[in-house]
Amino acid sequence: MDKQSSSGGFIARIDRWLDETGAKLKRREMAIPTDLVGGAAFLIFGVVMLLLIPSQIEVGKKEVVTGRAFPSLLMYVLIACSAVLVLTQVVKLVRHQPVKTAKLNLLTEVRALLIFAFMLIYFFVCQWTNNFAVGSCVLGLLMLLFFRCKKPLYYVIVLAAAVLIWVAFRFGLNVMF
Amino acid sequence: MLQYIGPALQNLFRIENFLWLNLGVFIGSVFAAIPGLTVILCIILFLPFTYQMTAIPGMMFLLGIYCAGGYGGSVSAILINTPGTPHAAATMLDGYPMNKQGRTKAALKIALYASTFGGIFSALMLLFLAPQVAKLAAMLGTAEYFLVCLFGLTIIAGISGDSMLKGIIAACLGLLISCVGSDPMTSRARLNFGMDRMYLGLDLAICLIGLFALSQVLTKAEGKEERMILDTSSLKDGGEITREEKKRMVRPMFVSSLIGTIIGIIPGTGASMASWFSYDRARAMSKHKEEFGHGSVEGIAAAESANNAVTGATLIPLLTLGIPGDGCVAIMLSALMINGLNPGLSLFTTQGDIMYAIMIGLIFVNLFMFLQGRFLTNLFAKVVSVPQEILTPIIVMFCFAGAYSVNKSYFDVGVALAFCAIAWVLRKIDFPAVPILLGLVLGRMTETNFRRALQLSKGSPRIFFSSPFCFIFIGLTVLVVASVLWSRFKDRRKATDAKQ
Repeated sequence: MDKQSSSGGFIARIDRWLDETGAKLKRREMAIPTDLVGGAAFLIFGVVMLLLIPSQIEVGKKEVVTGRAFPSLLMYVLIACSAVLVLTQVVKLVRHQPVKTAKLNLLTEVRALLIFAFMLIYFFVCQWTNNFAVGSCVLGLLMLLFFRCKKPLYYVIVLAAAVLIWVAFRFGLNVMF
Repeated sequence: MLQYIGPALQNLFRIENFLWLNLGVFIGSVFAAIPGLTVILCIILFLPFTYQMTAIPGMMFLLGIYCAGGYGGSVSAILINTPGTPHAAATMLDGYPMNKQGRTKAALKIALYASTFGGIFSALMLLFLAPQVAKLAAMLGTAEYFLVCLFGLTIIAGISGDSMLKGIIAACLGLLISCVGSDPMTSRARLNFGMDRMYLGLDLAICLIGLFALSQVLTKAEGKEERMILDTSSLKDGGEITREEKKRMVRPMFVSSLIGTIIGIIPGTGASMASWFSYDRARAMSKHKEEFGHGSVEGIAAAESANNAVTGATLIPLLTLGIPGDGCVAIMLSALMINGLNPGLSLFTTQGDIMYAIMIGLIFVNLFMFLQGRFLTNLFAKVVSVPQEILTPIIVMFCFAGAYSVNKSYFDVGVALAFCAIAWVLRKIDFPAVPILLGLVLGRMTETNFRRALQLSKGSPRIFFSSPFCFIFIGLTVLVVASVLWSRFKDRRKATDAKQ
């Protein structure tokens, strides 16, 4: 009885700590000028790709249109569009006009990053054990903990689904993993 | 055409085809009924399954998902006032009020009848129009084909997202990714960054799993949605539709099916535009305008028949020109091509028995969608309230299993994860992902035709202005760009006026 109440108290403490941390993160927001940042990022990407294309694509001397032509053309278009996007935003900034922004909420982003980290863990566990079912069970448990799920039935369903998917691919589609 | 019907029916009437068709319809209905899960996600998840199948069962399975997705979205729209798919939003306007009036089953029945009518109408249009368009497509040379690809990419880049520039940037990114691997003309390695495995290129299914499926999981997990509780007692009404109501459904169903078909043929438009446009037309043409928004039979019939009429029509540019009408059929193109079925006139001549089997099969997809909808609606209604704690990990497991099974390699799973990260960043900076998909799908075709045309003309770009077809497609591309820019300009002016 005591053990149960102490474990219940422990879970309640964790719940409270998570709630408090979540509330703190939720208050932290930042606005990013999406078009400016996106345009600049693609501008840099385009220039870097243009510089890399000669080393990445070999060409023959007798070719009328080489393998570099199409990717290079794409990068010129991408650079031109990005430059226009950046310039329009800069002009707006100079004229003190509002630029397009998006609000990033720290809690939202942390949640997404956590899920992405779980996917990476899943990937490495699958590769390390070479067993999809083991990795899936790990992912299922991590996800349910992430959602702070307290229903044992949900754990049973997700773990059963992990094994069933493995069985379907392993024996149904002959995918060895 | 008639000479292919016999062999096509022989190819189609096999138990295997009907099993996959029904499984696709069932899965599509379930996925579309759950808010937050999209038809495109469902097709991406199950695409690797079709790699093990031949063309007809594979396409029946995917078409089953695609068509049932058109109907399934209406289930949650009517039951819980949340559209399962974006194109079911117009259905919700009258479906939910009808549910509130205690006529839930009647609303679901109207949606089902209208969806089936729209789907069959569109399948018949596909059957009769596609071979004619293919004959026209056969007259196009490499330069014209390049311009067709350019037109397809422009229209999609133009209307997806809020900025045409961002759409073009995203399309360029997709086209660049399609260049990874062997050169289509010389077979030399390109952009492989020292990794031998990259010589095979990046498989479309794997890129899409990352871009659309895994990234959607991140979106779902970012904000915990409340579980939607469905009161199943609302499904116990008789579901009667009066004779007068049935009569009132006929005209909007026919007009909306026509609208849906026309909109579906235009690449990049999609079911949402068709259902809203048809809903608006039905209201304008109705003698009972006051009922719209309060449970109008015509409103539900118009929206549902239009969004299902898009399904067959989107296949017309896909099968004839290789230009996908929307994101879902873009994915189906890879299922076709893996079986050696390349879009164009040859598809309707040398492989006519397969192609006609698929097109006739689309009529059966709609018939089985009707039967499943008639008898399994209660089950579809129950899945609306599946908790996301269970759904999210299962989707990730399917994504990983699917990505691995394509080439039986963990490298591909890593690629899917990389694309997931790219999609997440792009969403944060508000760049659309659909043009990337189109770039990936059309990349090889665009580049091959571009280079072949220039090789024929010994490097002279004049070849792109050498025939009337070239001028038609250049004109259409310019028209699209101008109309998108004009509508954006008008929107901005309206917003400025509203502020003042």
